[in-house]
Amino acid sequence: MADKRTMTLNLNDDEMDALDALSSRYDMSKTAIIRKALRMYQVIDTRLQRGEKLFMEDEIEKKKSELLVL
Amino acid sequence: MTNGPITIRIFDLHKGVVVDASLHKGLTEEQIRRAQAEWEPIRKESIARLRDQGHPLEELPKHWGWDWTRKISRLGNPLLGFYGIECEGKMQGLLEVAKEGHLAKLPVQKGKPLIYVKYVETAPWNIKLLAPKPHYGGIGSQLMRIAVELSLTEDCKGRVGLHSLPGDKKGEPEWFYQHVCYMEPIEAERDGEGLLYFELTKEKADEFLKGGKS
Repeated sequence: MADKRTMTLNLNDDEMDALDALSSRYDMSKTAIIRKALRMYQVIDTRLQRGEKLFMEDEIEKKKSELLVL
Repeated sequence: MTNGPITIRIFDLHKGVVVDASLHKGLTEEQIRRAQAEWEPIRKESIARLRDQGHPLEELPKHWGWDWTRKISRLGNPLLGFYGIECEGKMQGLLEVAKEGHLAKLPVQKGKPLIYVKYVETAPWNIKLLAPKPHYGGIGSQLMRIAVELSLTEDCKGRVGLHSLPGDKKGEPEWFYQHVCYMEPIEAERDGEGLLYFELTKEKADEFLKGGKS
């Protein structure tokens, strides 16, 4: 793995609660959760930049909706 | 992205000694094309020879038709990882893993993220069935060790999953994952091609890394 660099992250209570919940649910450190999120965001952003769209699908309800991402 | 290679040790079965090899974390298009070009004709020749010798089709390695160059378009995808073990100027084994999108299925760790092995292959001259005198030993174990160590790095606690090629006799893929890598088979999780799913728990990952049979 490439060398790592350290940064300070400022989160409000809600954001920290969300990070805590994800960290607990997936048995991963907060750092690992943020790295995963960043990686996913990177992939999604690359595809959106190519003009593709991101959809969420509910197979049971047969619903499909576009997810808007910044 | 590729980083500089790391030196690892593999067993040279011809010389009977442990030798240095390079572990490439991240592969280039050129490395994949070269490996495919070197492996493919040997795979085909070996398979043809075995069939001529009367080996039943179902006993032959099932990955002889894999084409690693079809994965080139996925190089650089941050959700995937490509690894190769090189020795004496030739790739001795290749590995492709997914870092995202796969959750554990064993009850003890259900829903936890894991590293999923998409493709793993040892060079044909290192496979006993294809080469009467394999050159290097333990390449498959080394590649699985890479996957387990990546799982630890990614904070997946050593959890690894994969769908195995068929074959449960000693030395065959299913036997290897169960008895050498300490992975548990889950019959209910076979994929669309009927390949059996295996999963490594964090406890067994630790055992594998400590004991790591090869």
